[in-house]
Amino acid sequence: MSKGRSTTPPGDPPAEVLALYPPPKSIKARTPPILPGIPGRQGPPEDFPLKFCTVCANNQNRSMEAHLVLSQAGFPVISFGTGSAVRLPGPSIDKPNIYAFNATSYDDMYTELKARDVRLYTANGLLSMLDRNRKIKRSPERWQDWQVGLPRGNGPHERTEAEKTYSDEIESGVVDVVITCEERCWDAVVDDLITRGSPLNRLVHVINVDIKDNHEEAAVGGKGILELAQMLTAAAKEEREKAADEARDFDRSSVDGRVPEILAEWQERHPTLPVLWTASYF
Amino acid sequence: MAEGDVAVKDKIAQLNQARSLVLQDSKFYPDILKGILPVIVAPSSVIELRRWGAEFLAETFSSPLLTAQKKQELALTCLGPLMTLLNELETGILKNVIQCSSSIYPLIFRYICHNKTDVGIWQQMVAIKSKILSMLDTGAEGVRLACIKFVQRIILVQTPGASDPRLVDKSEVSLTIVPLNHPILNIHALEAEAHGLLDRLLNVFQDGKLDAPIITAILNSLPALVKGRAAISNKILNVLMAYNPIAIAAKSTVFKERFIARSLEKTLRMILTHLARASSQGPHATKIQQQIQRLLQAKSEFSIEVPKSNKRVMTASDTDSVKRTKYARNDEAEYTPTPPPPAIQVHPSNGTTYKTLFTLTGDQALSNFDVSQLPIDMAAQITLATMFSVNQEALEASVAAVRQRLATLVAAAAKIPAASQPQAPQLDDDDDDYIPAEGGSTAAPPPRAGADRVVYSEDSDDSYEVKDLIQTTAESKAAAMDLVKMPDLSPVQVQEACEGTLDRMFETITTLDKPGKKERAGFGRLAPASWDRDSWITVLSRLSTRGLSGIDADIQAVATENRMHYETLSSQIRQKLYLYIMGDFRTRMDAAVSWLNEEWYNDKLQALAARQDEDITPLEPQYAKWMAKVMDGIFPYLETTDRNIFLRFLSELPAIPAAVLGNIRGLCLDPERSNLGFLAFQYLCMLKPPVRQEVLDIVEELWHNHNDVKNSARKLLVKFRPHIVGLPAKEPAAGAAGVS
Repeated sequence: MSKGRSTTPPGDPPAEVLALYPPPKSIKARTPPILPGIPGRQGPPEDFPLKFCTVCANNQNRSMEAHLVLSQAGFPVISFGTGSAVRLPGPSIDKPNIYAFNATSYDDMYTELKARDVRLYTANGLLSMLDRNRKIKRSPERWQDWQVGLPRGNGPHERTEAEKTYSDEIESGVVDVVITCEERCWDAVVDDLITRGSPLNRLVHVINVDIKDNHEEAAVGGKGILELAQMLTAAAKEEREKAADEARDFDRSSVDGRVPEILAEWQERHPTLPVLWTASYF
Repeated sequence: MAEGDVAVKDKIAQLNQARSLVLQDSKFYPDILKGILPVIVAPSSVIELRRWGAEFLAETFSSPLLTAQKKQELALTCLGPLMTLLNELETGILKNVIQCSSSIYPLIFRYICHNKTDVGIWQQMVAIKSKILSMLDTGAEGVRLACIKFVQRIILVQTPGASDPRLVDKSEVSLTIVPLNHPILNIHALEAEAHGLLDRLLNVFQDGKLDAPIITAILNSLPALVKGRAAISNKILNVLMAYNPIAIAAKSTVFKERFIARSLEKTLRMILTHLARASSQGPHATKIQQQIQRLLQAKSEFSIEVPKSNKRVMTASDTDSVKRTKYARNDEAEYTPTPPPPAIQVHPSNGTTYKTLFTLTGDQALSNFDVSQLPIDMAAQITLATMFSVNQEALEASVAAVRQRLATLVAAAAKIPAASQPQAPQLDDDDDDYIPAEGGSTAAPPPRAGADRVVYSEDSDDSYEVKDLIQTTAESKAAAMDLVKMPDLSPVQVQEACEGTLDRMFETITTLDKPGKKERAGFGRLAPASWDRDSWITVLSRLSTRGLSGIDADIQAVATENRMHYETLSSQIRQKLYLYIMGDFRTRMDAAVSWLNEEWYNDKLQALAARQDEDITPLEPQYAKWMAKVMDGIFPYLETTDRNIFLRFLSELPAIPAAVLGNIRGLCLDPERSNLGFLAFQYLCMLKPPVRQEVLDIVEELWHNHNDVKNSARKLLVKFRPHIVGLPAKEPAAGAAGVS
């Protein structure tokens, strides 16, 4: 009965563990995101002739990992999700945490989940993922709601204090390459592009790189996507230089014609990330 | 030059500032465009400026922030500069200019509809159009992709839109908005042009080229035409229905082409799915669904899917309703016993295939089900489950039914006049013969339901006529079928095949692990359990000595008849074994010992058999021959350091032929290896009494004739023939005891 006195009731983790996760003072309290270590575009724009867009279901894990990796390498990149809402794992499989795209910021989700169950969401990696995401951009965006061609954040001077987006945005709101992370998302993107009827008349390569939806695979996939972006960009630069050299003659190929060949080469190096591609229009 | 560069850089920086201004507020577009255009197209302008300008123009007319009305106003001022820029040769510039033209074309068209007299503008537009169309086939890939989009815009504009006034989109530009009797726009000519252009686009699906970017770009451009333009949707759909990218790519095994095929197929399927959804009530919906099914099937047949399948890919095929029903029916068949067919229809023999012969179910869908589509594990599971649960009576009834059919066939075949019968059973290498034979044997699982046919159903036998089947069954009493007998291989072929096999075996043997710690396994080693080197050597030596002799005799007879040279299989094996041992005799001495022992034993057996039965002529004794050969092979390389190996070799051999003793004598006379030779002689004298006298004769001869080795020879003679060297004779037993 009186067998040693414990400060914590039985069942609760020891004090030193709880101390690692101090409960928030109130649910509303919002710690402003720490200034991130994600560099924006490095080097002159000529070094990055292609603009990228990464897409997954929730715009949380795979597309954001790729977004981060591409950003860090200096590529102009934006990201989207194709799902109907942002679904994050909850305490059980039938109780997911559902948020609206665009409306709920990563920071809100982070604060809320942290207040709800700090151990669970630390253990399953959600908090660290959201923490990373809130340093990249404000909120998850839905592909279908994206108004292509609508100018986006225009460099650092455009950013307001409230809406900190740290990676470089694409001012013109148009990209050259869309990389989806799941075949379902590729389907959604290709279908959506057809539905939109391509009002911009602008060519876009839609590439799928199949990545399983977990943190480890996302990291592997992110590296693969980075390599792909580098290969495509290198080819685009090469073609542009060729065009400059042969200033007075047709350059017979362009990066668009070389995309399949580059993808095939990439696929041979990454046989575990099945790739799919189509040339469509915005 | 440097000054110029700096000036250009400054200018670009200014232009970029202007651009960020319009991106922030679109109301500045008109002013800025007006200011920029002259700068870009000025004859003195540098390429960087033109590049920038082309991009800006494309961006301006794509911007969702500008209304169509605004864009139309702006467009009127841009035609000249666009024409100028079209004379550029750089892909990047052209791409942007064509993109811009695609956006402008409907705007100008609408303008002309309302301003019937502005011939100048229309002529400019027509000039731009023809310039771009000239690049459709000849431009760089990027330019062509932009041209495709431009062509799609022209087709959209120059075909009639929806006729139902409720569906008309006011902002849409089509032939429908052209007023009758327009002085400039001739509706019929424009529509004809659109049809011509459409044909040019659709041509790409028929010319069989795998120009993937072009094809996917066209594919992605077509749905808008199908959905918006009823007049041409049929034509487009028909082409899409006939197109099968997999068939083209299946010819290639190149990795890239398979990837492209996968992408083309998926793009096509996405577009069809989109169209099927858009017109789910339309007349084409079923047709489109069928084509989607076909594509899925073709894809699974050529397995262009990358090996790593994903659960989401599976959900895609879940929509495959036809497949589903097939599976469902299959399941039903699992649980509802199929009654034996009441009456068995025997088809006329010329129309009978193995399929009809073994099909017992009346269910058309089931009999058309291609079982080879099932994954092999699933097929195995179904077969096993069926075999366990099969009803004995049903099985017997089924077998009886097939038997009866066969009997009818046989009877029918007997009636066929001999002249019309096919030539003697063809010697067919094809495995096809084998499959039905297996199915036909009564031991095979019952041909009860589709699932059972998993065992032997293959595409090929569907169409396989049973003519040869009738032939053989007519000859045999039972319905069981004989395999067509293969012709015997000619001795030469046998020899070649054998040589190849042996080469492979020895290749394998040399790569196998050497057996670790040598354990004396006794008789165990004769029945090898671990397939290491020793086991293989045992098998081979047995094959050469005993296993093949019967076969060899047969083939030898044939060869002699045909006066051909034939090296018997066993002698081939012996030759290879010999070469194997010579390859490294020091480590392979064990192999030599076990092989030569087998030879000796076999020689004895042969002699014994010949003595007991006079009909048997003993095979040529092999032991002495090969023993001598091995010895000849190793003698040149023996060194004094090989003492242990050599002595052990001698000790483990059952008999030492005289030729070998001659060899050892040679060793004794070699000043370098004389010691080894005498050691061997001494050893033989002591431990191999059968050859002792022969050895001593040789030693005696050496003692008499060769002064160099007199001393060594003397030592031996002192022990065994002391009288020769002038010593008193000893008791032989004492000598042996002294040694031990």
